[in-house]
Amino acid sequence: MMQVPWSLTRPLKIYATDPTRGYEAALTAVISVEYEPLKAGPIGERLEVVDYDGGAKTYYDAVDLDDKAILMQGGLSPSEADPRFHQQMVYAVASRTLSNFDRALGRRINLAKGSKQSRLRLLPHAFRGRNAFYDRELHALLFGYFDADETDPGTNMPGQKIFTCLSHDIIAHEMTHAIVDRLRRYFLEPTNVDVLAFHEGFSDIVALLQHFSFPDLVMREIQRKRGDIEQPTVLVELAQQFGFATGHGKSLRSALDDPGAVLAPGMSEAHDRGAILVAAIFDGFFQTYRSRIRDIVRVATGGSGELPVGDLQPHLAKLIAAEASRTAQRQLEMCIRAFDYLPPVDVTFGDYLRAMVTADFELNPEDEWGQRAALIEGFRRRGIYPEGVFSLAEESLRWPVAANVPKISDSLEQLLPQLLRIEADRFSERSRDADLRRAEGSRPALATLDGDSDDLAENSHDYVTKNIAVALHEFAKNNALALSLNPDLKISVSSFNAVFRTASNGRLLIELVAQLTQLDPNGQVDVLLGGITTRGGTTIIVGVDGQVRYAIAKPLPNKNLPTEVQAAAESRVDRQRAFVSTLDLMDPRFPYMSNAQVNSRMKARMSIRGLHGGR
Amino acid sequence: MIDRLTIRMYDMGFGDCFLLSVWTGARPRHVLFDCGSLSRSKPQVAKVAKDVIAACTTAGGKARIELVVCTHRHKDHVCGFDDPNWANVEVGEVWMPWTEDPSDPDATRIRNRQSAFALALCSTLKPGFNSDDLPLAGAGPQTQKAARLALALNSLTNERAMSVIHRGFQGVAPRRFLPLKDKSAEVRYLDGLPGVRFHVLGPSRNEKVIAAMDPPDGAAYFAGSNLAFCAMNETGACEATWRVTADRYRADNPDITFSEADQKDVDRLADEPDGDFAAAIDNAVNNTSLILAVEVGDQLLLFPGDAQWGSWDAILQQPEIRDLLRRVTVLKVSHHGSHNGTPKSLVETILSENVTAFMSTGSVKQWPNIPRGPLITALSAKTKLARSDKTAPAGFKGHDGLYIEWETPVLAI
Repeated sequence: MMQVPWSLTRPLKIYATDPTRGYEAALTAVISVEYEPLKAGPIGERLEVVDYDGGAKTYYDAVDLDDKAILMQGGLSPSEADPRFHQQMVYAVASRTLSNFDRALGRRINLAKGSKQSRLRLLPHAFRGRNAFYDRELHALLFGYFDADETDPGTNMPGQKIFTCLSHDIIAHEMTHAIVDRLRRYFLEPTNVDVLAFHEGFSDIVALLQHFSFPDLVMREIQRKRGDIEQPTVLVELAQQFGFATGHGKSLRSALDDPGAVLAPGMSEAHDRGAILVAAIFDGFFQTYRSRIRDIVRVATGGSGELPVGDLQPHLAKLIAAEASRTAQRQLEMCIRAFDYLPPVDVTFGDYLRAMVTADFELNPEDEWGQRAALIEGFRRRGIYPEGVFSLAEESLRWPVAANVPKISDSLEQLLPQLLRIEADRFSERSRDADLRRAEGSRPALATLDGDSDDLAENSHDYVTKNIAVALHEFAKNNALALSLNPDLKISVSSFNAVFRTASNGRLLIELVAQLTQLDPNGQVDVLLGGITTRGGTTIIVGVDGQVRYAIAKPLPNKNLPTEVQAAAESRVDRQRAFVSTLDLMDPRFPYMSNAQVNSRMKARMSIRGLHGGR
Repeated sequence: MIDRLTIRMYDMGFGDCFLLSVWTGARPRHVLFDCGSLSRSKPQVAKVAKDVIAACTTAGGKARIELVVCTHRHKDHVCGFDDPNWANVEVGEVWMPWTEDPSDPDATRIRNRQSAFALALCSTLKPGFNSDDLPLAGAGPQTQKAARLALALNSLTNERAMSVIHRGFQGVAPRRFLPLKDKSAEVRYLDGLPGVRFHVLGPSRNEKVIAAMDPPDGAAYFAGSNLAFCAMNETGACEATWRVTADRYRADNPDITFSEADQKDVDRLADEPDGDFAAAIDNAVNNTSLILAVEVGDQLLLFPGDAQWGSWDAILQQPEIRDLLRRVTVLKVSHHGSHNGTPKSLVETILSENVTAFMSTGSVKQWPNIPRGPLITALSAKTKLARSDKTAPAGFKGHDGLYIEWETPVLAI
């Protein structure tokens, strides 16, 4: 018999709305995740579901999604009682989130952390508690479960088990934390008021926008609120239904409600600030959405734009929902793509806006949907202004093009094509033909620089990785000042990747992105910094021709820098110290800390768990 | 005409008791701020109460206090009222934060949440605890656990003390719950205290401050929290039919990267609490503190209770209150000199150069940062600072280690 071509995706069922909300029957959705062979768990190449319950100290039977009985049904049907469905849902949403990052960043994200933790582990029932978090040490997402209140159960049955792993938004949120931590490992260090707020806000943005890409769900909401489809209220309400099972979603999304909520100078709580970032992005999203559906409504109403009374015509609702989903997907990719254009340390909301504008400009200079303009307007309306720019005009917001940096040459020139090959092999689509597929084998691994560098030797491509690291280091050292690095301090190559992106006009954009970081040697003993030193660093974006296009820097103070750069670097260090003191003020535990706890308090504050559970 | 005033700071260890007396010639009138301790035994606290009552008793043998202020319900501020002798003291008025108002539904909700949280926390930390336990006062081991329990017990409702404050004392002193609704920085007067103006600055009723009064997730939190978990160890996430042993699981899934060491780490994460709940509830109750500025002639005395960041933040954002605070001449340092009790901007940019500061504090081994070193340095540089745990500095009068007293003439303005 002739072989049937492989499917590129695997359909899996999930709860699209939180089953514990109970205001009506939970909606389910079928999502397509990237196909990969799975072992029981499920265990794939980058994700590993481990159903260990640290509360009851037991394992639960692991699902085999490649089991024919399950394949035939397109995955297990949603069930609150069956842990195997929980495993499937966690895997499906995590995989979907990961694919969105792969796609937007133009490479296959590496989730391996050393050789022992080669996959990100997902524990759907890790502990008893109203929380869910990413833990860097364990390289895992841990989801809690808890009993609904016995006396005030709300819409739930008293004492009923509530699972955080059954909320799409919580899974996507935690997954985003994990990916962000792999992409930017210093973004958990609260060096300024925006860093943790960014981690939180960005995770919510990904969760919400990803949720909008379920057209059926969007369509139902649009039909329910037929009168105001042009108003963002429909989508805001949709955003607010999601993922309320843990407390942390609530305040993050509250700013969506209030068009007047802006970034106030004294606002230092991570969730409050994160809420403003979410609102700014959504303001931009809604504006694009409105302009996208205006023509559809005009066509459907014979040019008047006035909808007739009665139910919304189903076809119209479908078209609008499809447009909302498409806009959300593009917005999501725009938000993620910016990552490669962020400095390696000490990020601010303003940096993020600049990174989004620059990354999107490089890919789609035309901005035919007006998305960039809408986004800038959203940030302006929410009072988020980048430092050191003269205006909010797009040209001012884009990172300045690197000047005075020589072309990358010598050894790196030989190595780059090899890196490109490996990354291309990792990222390109696998054949659907079964025979070819077998011949292709599995995707090559990419050695990681972080984690434990001793593990590099065990990787088949380590020689490329290692040599590129050495060559980049050499390059950075020789051009330290031009890259705003301090030539007298050690320079670390934190990461580098080749990325492949397709522009809207069909062009292929290939770049090398690398993060170079430095440590302030004086910072380690500064008790005012609470155990986290000051870092500096530069992200470089290099074209295939070896030309450094952008050098996005957060320099450490250094007297050889130009005066204004030096002043900015110094104020950045002062800002970090002042911020630690503000955190101390807000931290109820601070007065009761022992001296050892005081000295390492900033390290303790780096935890996502504390961020989610401490409220 | 009031011509002078005295302030007595009693040595309560980790606690507060301040007696303000305004004098017209030889006749004093008294205002009492709090009476309690976390680190002193019951007899020690009773001795202070006795001295306060004696100080407020006339030669004719009549004890009268014009105003009793209960800044907030923490044990270290109220437990001294659990004493039968207060029944013989006539009191003009009793002021409390609005959160004590029994007829205000918001206040009741906050109180109930705080009490339920503290109760659940205490039972979790020490099943079968006694609400009169004094883990920091006795000879017991001074461990972190004892300190945490002390902190949790601190937030427990002090039934007997609170009933004296709400319904006790001689006479029928009206109870006021301040600030009144819809009043910001209200100025109040008292018939028994002519010439004294009270500025009621907090606690604000704004949403942020109310949020700062909320324990992490109410009492319901404990039902879902891993803190209360020991009791329910048997119920896991899923029904028993789905359970498999570790050996089986590992044999069936040989490829897992999840090692036995990882499994132990998960156990540890599952067993340790999400946060320091004792500190969280302590902070929540502190933020209910009634904040008063007492104006007598040229003197302006700031008594912020144990106000912490959330409450201060709301106050310092109001320009008219910032202006008022620039005139402060006496500061009762909030929360025993903790970093969170006194905003840096208050000391550095708002307070003037001529301030006398009182810090009621007692060192607790487990809390080496109360009082906070840098705050003491900043206050010492800018103010005349007296500490209850040190001998009286020049200009203050010590009294047998029982209290430190300070006197200043009052000039009419």
